[in-house]
Amino acid sequence: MNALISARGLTKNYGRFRAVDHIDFDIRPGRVVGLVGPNGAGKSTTLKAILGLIKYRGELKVFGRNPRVDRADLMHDISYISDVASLPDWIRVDQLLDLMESTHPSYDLRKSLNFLARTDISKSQRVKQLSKGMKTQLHLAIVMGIHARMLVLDEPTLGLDIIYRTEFYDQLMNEYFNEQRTILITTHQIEEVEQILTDIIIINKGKIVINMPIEDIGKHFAQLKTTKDKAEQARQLHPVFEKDMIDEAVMIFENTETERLIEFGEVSTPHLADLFVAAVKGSHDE
Amino acid sequence: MMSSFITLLRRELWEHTSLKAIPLTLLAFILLANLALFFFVSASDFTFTINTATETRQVVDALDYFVQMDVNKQTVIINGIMITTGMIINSILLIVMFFYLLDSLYGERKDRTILFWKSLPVTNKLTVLSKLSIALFIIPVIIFTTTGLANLLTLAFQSFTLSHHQHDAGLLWQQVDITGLSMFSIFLLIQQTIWYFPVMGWLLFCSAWCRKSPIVVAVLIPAILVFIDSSFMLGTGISEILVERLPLGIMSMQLGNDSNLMTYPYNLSSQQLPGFNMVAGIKLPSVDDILQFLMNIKVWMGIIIGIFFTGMAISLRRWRDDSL
Repeated sequence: MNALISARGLTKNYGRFRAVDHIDFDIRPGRVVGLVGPNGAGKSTTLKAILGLIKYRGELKVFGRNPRVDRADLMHDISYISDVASLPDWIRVDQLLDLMESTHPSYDLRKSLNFLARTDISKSQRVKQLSKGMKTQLHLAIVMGIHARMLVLDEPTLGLDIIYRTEFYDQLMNEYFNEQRTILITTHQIEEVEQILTDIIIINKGKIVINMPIEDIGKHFAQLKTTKDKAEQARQLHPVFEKDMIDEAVMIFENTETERLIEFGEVSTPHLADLFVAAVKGSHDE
Repeated sequence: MMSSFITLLRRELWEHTSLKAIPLTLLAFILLANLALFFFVSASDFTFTINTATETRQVVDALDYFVQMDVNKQTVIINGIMITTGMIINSILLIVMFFYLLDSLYGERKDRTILFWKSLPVTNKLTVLSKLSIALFIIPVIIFTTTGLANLLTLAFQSFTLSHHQHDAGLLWQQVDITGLSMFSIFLLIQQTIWYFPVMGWLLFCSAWCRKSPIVVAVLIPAILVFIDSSFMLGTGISEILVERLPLGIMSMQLGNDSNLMTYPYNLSSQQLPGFNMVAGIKLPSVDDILQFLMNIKVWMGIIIGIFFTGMAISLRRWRDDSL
């Protein structure tokens, strides 16, 4: 299936600082892709390039278009939430809905209203009167109404408590996502999106360090839980990451046969959070 | 696209509440001034002297003084009040426009809402043009409406004052040419808008360009150019070009007869001048007057410069994000 987004050699410099460094990736339809990395890794810069908000070098096609020249057209197909701070404080909820209905040709006001009816948000409230959680709900209500093929979320739950964070992703997956839609999420809190991703792209220092479907992680990486006395022998197989526990050690191996690891302890597929730390630390150590 | 453009205009009016609040405050102030005049007239015990060709009279009541005044002088006072009110409202709303344009593209980056605005399927051109349209069309309409309402309020209130003191309530209405004054105001507002168009473009450009304090850059760059030109007597003519685009520039163009820029002079005094004078009433500009204004090279240079700066603002906004 053709990729919705295709990047080749995507590079972005801010002065002498290289925020994104010759990255290649494809995003296919019907996927939930996590673009994860530590703060300053280049996630938001990559998103801004995709959304046509910044200049860049390299080749980038979004829905077959060049985002540098077709941003406004692209926004018919892409719905974008940066974070809760980007909604204008002064706007009233009814004005916001009016604005969306008048500017988005495929906006369905009823869907937003249905969603809002299940929240405590009143149409006469201004955004500045809403809590962070309510702002996220409002943003989600807008997204529900936009018939976009792709939803781009940039740290959408930043600053929210665990209840709102969980609710946000639950509602997103249950009420928004279907196989015709694609979601691209950037976050540095991988544990909160771990359960919903179909693909992961880990970026660090502007370079992609891991890019694969979640189901392929088990084929490439293995996690070994071993006792302290066997740890030294296991280290001979060159783990990419190691975590010391009280009486055991956890190691992650890349492209190492499971049969060779099994003699040292329990082998499993690594958690994304551990893989993330491994990938980031690994690229730091390079 | 038209629907999006109208929505963007409404968005500007939702966001910039000063565009409604300041005219309403001015109208409230006019109401208070009228109330103060009503009580002043009722309580005044001044003695006025009326000198006519045949006699000299002492009048105790201020309204009696006005009513017994020569009709021409009454017209001068009424027109004077109306024109002065219009000029005050115009000046204040021009200041509002100055700050509105400076903030229009900078503010959305400062509060990071630019990411939300850019998530809408609306082009940068349409967004910038909607902001320019507020300055080009909406603010002049607000100036005209506020001035009209303020003057009607004054006429109605002072007619009530006259009637309250057993004078003819229709006196003021007979002396004022509302239609002529309105047409004249419309002409001046169009002339003013065209004249200030390059300034509007410059302010939009500064708002899109500056990463902080656009007001400093917007004022400092022209000031430095004028300073260099006049200090070193370079004679580039840039000082004259910049100074005549300042708010007082248009007044000097109109009041003075030296320049051939504004061929349609008016004067607030009661002297017999071509064009407008308060005694003779209002002479609307002729087609020749308008054509002469539109044929002026300075007007067209201004329009070209205004379009250039607006184009630059559109181009700059394309690459602006929340990083200021």
